[in-house]
Amino acid sequence: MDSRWRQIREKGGSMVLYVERLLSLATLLLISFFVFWGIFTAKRGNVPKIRRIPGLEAITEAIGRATELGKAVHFNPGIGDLTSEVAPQTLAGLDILTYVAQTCANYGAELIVTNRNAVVHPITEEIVRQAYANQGVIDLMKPETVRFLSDEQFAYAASAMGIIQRERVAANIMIGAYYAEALLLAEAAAQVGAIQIGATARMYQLPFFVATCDYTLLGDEMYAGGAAVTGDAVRLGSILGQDYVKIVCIVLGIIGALSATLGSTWLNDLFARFGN
Amino acid sequence: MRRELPSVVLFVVGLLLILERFLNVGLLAEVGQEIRTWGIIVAAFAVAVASMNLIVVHVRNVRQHKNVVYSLTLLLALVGMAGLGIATGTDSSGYKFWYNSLLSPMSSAMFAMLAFYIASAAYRAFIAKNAEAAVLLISAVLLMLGNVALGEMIHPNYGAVSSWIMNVPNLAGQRGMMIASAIGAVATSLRVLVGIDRTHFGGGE
Repeated sequence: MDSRWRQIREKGGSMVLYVERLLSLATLLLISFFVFWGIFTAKRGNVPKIRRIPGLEAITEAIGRATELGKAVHFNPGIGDLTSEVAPQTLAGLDILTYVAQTCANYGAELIVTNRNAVVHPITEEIVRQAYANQGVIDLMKPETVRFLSDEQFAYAASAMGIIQRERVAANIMIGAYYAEALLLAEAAAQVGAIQIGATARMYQLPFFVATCDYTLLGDEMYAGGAAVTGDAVRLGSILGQDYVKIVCIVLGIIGALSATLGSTWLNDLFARFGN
Repeated sequence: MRRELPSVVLFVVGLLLILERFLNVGLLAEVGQEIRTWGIIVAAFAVAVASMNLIVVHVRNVRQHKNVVYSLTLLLALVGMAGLGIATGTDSSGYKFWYNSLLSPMSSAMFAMLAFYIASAAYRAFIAKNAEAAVLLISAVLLMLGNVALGEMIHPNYGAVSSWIMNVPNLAGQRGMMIASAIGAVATSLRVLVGIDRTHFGGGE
């Protein structure tokens, strides 16, 4: 191990910025600035109000319906991992799982969480265990509550579809990164008449959710989900920051459109050179 | 401490990987590579933990006489493939035979089912029950006509209509959502990185 670290130290070069990534760095700093500024503002008592998101309000309604029918609620945080570009979507799913698990524990509804990713599985297990413990119903937590099915995409889909159909779940909540299995899961739940809430930021799968789910959270609505359901001031503040970044993007879009209309490509060139 | 320590580790690792992305420093590149290797090791342990859950759930099913056939099939396949892989290696002809003869065709069959599910989902979605659904129905019909010969029979330049729908309103909407999603993703990552958002450690705030 010592020699390995010696090699690493010897390879240490001079501290130079990647010029072709300057714009990405500037964007990250800009978003960070606005997000932390939003959080700072919220902490000082100026908590922003966000618009109603019907899909989030429907979560409680769906769990309530499942409780009345004596049927289970199925939750899946997507099939993405925690180390790639879809990790924030998985985190958003886990964030909402906390709320779903607490509500299920509170109502006494049976919850079934299915996982495709082995790294996400112990996290979901811990989230549900903590939520049940907080509500004083830890005895409701069984090995079947949080299930790892398979790390093969379609093996997972087949297994999850089987669970949805056999258990005849009353609510199907899918929040995270989805690929081709999105429609398979949603159709399986539609066949048993479950209330469906779908959310993803993957553009190719959104139309399937819109077509099959009763409620769909589109793109960034999913990231606002945790803040919206908990009403946590700090996280609501960060959403305010996000909105300011969107304003900057809209202004840049207008400038870009005007420049392109006038035949100038300076903005394109800038992004091509520094926006890797 | 149960939450603070993981938060500190998360912050340090996250910061190192962000710096590695923007700074051309050999040491950072090596440290980043080292962290990714650790990630693979952690993921391997996670597979073992997850597989235990799979075994526990299905052994309980067999004991409780619940979906016995499915659970036994799964346990047999799990133990059989793991045993074969450990004994002969994943490149062996025996292992590849079962993989290519069972898993691959079954996965293809699942993928093929999408075609039927798209039709049934489209049938439900295209019922014009409100204004938005009516817009969806009209655009879908216009697009579908543009993708079959019937569109060109109606008018030789009909393809331009479906291309316009795809490339102007559809693309504009998609790009708007992509930008908003990307901002949301960065903000979520930042919250997690600095420990503001710690619900993934369990139990809410």
